[in-house]
Amino acid sequence: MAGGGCGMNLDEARRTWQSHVHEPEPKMSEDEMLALVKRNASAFDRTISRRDRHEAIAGGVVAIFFLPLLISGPWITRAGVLVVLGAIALIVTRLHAAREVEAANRLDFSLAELLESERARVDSQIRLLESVVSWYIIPPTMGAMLIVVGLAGLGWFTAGYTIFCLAVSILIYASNRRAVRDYLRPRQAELDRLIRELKG
Amino acid sequence: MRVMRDAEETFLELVRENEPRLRKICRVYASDTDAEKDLYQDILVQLWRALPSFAGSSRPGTWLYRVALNTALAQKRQRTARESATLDESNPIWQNPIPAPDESLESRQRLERLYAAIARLDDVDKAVVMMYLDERSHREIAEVLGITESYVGVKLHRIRKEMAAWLAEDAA
Repeated sequence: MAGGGCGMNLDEARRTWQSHVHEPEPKMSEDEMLALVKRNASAFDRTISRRDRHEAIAGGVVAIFFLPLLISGPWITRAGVLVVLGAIALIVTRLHAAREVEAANRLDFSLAELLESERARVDSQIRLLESVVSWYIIPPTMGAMLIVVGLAGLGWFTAGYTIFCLAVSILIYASNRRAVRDYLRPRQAELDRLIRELKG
Repeated sequence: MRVMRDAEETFLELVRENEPRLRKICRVYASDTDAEKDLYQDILVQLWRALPSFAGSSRPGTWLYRVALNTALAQKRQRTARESATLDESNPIWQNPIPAPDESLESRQRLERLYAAIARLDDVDKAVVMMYLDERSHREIAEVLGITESYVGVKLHRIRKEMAAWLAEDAA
């Protein structure tokens, strides 16, 4: 196919493209490059496993902190501890399920497969963060409130604690909404654009 | 140990043979030189991470394009997971290209015009045209992108027309 006029036609474009070989400055040996790539790949994988480990440790610490109250506290406090433990299990399960969607992405997928898979992951994260009130905020807050009511009764301390819990909950809710608005929605739009470009 | 050594040799050979191709992908998708360096490093890391799936791949070229394009286009790249030492100005994986001794000024200008024309395409069409310029078959392009061969033909027909017009326009 001719490019027309005095321009480069596509056969020439092909030759130009293929004949151009970058000659890199010799800076680093192959062994050094390999070592660096392996270090970065390990750092990448470590970040993911560290996140899982931190969640499990945080859950364990909270459970250990509240367990004595399950044995010796008043019944309302014991009910609260059970609610908190259930909430921790719910949070870990939800986060683990979200992670499985993430892990389903494979680097050697075709672009169409990867875009669809990445889109599903982003959709799932949006659903997760938008429903944060029902699985991340209300269950542990309710449990903690029951524990405090059981220990301190209905008084000024409980009122103050309720206000504190409400403030923290609003903060968590707002930061999750911001993450959806500033990061996930633009990413979703970007993936939609790529899918449209791919499928026409 | 032996398996690891084989993997390392496979990886180095892959990078050695495809370095110009990988650099061209970075040039096409990165917004500036720093982004090019970052993307090149990310692609190498993802190629290494994806290497176990390379063994079963019947078409190494298709596999390489998939991983590289997926890294450039679809993966949300994780800056935080990268070692900060590799992010500085002297990023050691990236080696600045120097013109080949036999490369004329005219040839470099033609290449720049070609890159400028490719930059006018959308992200997916950039991938299609790069593989076309690299003489990949419709089948390979279809396998990398996950669309049908006939649709690759339709896309290429349109892209070739656009590119030819842009290249002629630039020269004029």
